[in-house]
Amino acid sequence: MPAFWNWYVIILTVLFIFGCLWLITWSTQQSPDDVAEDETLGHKWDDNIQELNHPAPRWWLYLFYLTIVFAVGYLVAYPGLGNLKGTLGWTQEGQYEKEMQAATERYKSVYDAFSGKDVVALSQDPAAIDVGKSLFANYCSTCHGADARGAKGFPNLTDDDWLYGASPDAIVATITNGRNGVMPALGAALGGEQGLDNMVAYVRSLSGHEGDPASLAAAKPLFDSICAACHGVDGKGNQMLGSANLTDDTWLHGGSPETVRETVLKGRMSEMPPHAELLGEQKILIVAGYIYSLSHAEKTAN
Amino acid sequence: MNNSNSYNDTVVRQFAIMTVVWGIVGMLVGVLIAAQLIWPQLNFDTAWLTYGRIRPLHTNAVIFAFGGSALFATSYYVVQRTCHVRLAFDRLAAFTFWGWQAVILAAAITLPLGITQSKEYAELEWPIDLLIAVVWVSYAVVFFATIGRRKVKHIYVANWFYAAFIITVAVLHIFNNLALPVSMFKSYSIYTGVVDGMMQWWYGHNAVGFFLTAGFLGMMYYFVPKQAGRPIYSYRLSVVHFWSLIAVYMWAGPHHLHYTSLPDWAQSLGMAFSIILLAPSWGGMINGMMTLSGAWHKLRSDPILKFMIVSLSFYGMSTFEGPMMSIKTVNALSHYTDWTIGHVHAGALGWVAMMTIGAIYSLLPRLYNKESMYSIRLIDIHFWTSTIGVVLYAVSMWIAGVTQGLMWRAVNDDGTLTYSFVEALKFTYPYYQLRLLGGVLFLGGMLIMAYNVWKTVSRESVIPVPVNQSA
Amino acid sequence: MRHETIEKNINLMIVLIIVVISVGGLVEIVPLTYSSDATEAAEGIAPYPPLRLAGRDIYIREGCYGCHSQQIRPFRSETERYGPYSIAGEFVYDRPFQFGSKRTGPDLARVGRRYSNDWHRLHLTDPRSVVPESNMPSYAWLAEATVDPAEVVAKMRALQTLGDPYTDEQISNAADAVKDRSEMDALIAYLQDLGTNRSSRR
Repeated sequence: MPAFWNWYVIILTVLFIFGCLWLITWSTQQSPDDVAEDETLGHKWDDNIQELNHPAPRWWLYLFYLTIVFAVGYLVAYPGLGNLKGTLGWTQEGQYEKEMQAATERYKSVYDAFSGKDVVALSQDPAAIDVGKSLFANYCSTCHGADARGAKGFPNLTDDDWLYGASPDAIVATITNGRNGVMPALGAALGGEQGLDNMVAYVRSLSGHEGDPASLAAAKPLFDSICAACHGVDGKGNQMLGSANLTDDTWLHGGSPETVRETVLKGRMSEMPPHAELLGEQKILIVAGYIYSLSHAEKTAN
Repeated sequence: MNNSNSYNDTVVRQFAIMTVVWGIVGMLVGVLIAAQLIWPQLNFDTAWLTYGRIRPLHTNAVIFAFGGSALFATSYYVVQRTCHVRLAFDRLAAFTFWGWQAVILAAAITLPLGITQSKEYAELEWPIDLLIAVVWVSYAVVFFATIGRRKVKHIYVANWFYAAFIITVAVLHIFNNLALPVSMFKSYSIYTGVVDGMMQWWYGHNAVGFFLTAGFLGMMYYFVPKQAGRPIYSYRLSVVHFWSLIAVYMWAGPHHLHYTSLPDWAQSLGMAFSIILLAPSWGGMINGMMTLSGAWHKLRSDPILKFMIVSLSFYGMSTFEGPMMSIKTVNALSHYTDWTIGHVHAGALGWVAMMTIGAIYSLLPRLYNKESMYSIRLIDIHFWTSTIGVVLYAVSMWIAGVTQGLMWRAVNDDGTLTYSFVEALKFTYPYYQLRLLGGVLFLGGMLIMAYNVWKTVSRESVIPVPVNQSA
Repeated sequence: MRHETIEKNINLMIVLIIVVISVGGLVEIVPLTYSSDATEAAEGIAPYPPLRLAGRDIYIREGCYGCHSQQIRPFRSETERYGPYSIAGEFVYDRPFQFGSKRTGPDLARVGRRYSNDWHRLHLTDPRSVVPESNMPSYAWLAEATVDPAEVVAKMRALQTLGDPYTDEQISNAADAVKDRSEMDALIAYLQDLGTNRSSRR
């Protein structure tokens, strides 16, 4: 704050506090001397409204003085009067830095115990799982659900179906850098409504749903030429690209004919934001360990 | 009878009736938004009924429509009775009534349409702000001209409070709403960011301090001694607490911005003066309570006095809670939680609404040449309904708020957060239901009041009341 | 002077009331406008581009501030949950400020890029499809409404008049930037940028 405004704040505040004190003393003298406490001042409004002349209760006056003393003490100790820092040197940023420093020291041992462990080891460490679980609840569950079972468009992390691979490295990479799964809109490439219907039947048939043989036969060449580039001729997907496996009857956006049709027609944009900055390296490993444990529960139990 | 020999009670009657009407409307919207927080489907998929748009409708309706009408009605009544003169400028007074109703109507239309400045309790856009300014200046002219024409030398203390309320609300309204219009329905504040935040909470806190406190203390200073038939306890106390209250209140705004990016010095000043504010606030409670204390025996037979005593109790409680919540360490827990909502309603329902209800029950029979309201028994039922309602409301929000604050800051032994945000929300749902029940009870009481008022005033012809001739 | 003098003179009383109520605001507000901490933009903070400006005004219109704050306090529990605490320089183009006063929902000061655009779209259309316990209303209609380019241009002009450093070029390109965009696009664009001026590392 510029010097002028600094003095402006200090002077006005101090004057104001003195004003409050003056008001208290001045007001105690505000009544005609000849009026006793339990007598009215003699004015009468609207027939029967009158005022007695009791002094303000003593405890109330003390309370008033006490709060003023507190306020003055507070403004001496803490930053309040313009640029004066206060005798305690307190700032809210300083308070935060201290809190963070204390936390770092306090929790250092917890995290030291995890250092050097890889994702698989962390997934078998109950203490790490606990930490991973709370981190997941606060940073991941909004999309993937409190139970990690996902939602429409947000992958279930408890099953064995992985768009980008189940390896610890793949999971860590996903969390760190995020993912962008883009499926283009292919409605136009399939030759109208009939072609679209045929393709929907074909895609669903890969997961074992029955379809009209003629439709399937008609769609197959188109699948091989258009879709197989990402999903493979066998429809098993490609974890390098993050393209879905279409043969396991697990559907990210839903497997009903209507939803599959929508996916083919309009395409899908599935994005997971990067978490490198938000979580940092170590916490990413811990969360990855927790996520890894969800689909490897039996194996880790063994 | 010559016009100037009688009081102008027409405008008082109009505002008094509308107080009850807007009270019901405002609280009904409150009940609706309380229910929406439990069942979000209750906007029926219409944009106009979404929580974000009608929450301001609720706050504006209860503060400015219900509270405002009550303040107009009682200030116009009190200033005539205590100045022993007819209200100045009949037509200007009538304009303030119709102008204020127009403001309320405009608010009721624009807020659900999403036309808003988004500053709490100052949401209304600039054309309505201009109308408010015109009505408010007219109000000041009528009020102060009446005092200017008074037949008694001394200005009664109730009028000091009404005067401070009228002047300060004008100042607050003008400075907080300075904005550059883009179109009829959109403007941008001339202040930005932290400065805008400071301006807004200087306004917001003093909307509470003057609209909901100083004005209602004016009401208290007339209706409590009148109803109790007792003189005001202490003139000297009223002098000191009046000046200190209006002076200190204006400093307390920054406690709404504790631990935000507002500079430390402003936050500290806000906290220091919020603590000092305790004594001036309690001065009003003491004067009211001690005035009533000579009339304890009347409490058994007069439910209006019960409203007043409970109102003063809630006033004392809220004005203790307020300074406490302005202490930074307490605020760190309470801010952003439902504790604040509980605090506001202990004040708004407990103090403001209960005092208003008491004053209206006391006032209406006098305005319609009756000894008393149609049914004293119904007033008593209203009293218990609303008292239970406020208590349920405040208690549920205290529990909800404190627990939210604790859940948000809870950490595990490993330093991670114990609860996700939504877990705290899940915890709150049962308390939202309890709060809804409290709100429904309070609204139910208002409906009982409406019936009682209707039975009292319908088919009643009005006879002008002659002006008091003593000086 | 005795108080009786004031009690008998309404003009004197009016003057004294104005004097005593003025001090608080004069001390707490006026110096802030001369304090660089409160008025200078933080690094990475610029006036809102057209689509985000439109989104911000939708945020205001819908009263989002009634349930969501945009102000992270300097406590570890808050910075762990929401990201680095807010600083004054991040809000200098906010007219009006959107700090909020109640968190029925979480703070949004740094919600930018925390979730995907699709998540926001689903969440705004049907909040409970992604957060089953949520009590947020559905804002499905935002997808149907389009942003009015002329209005955005007028808004940027007004903000320029108020001193926000928009260039004339930015204003003349504004209409194209928001043409045919839905209100939901605009709101998501606004949300996705909130607090991204600095690293989310605490």
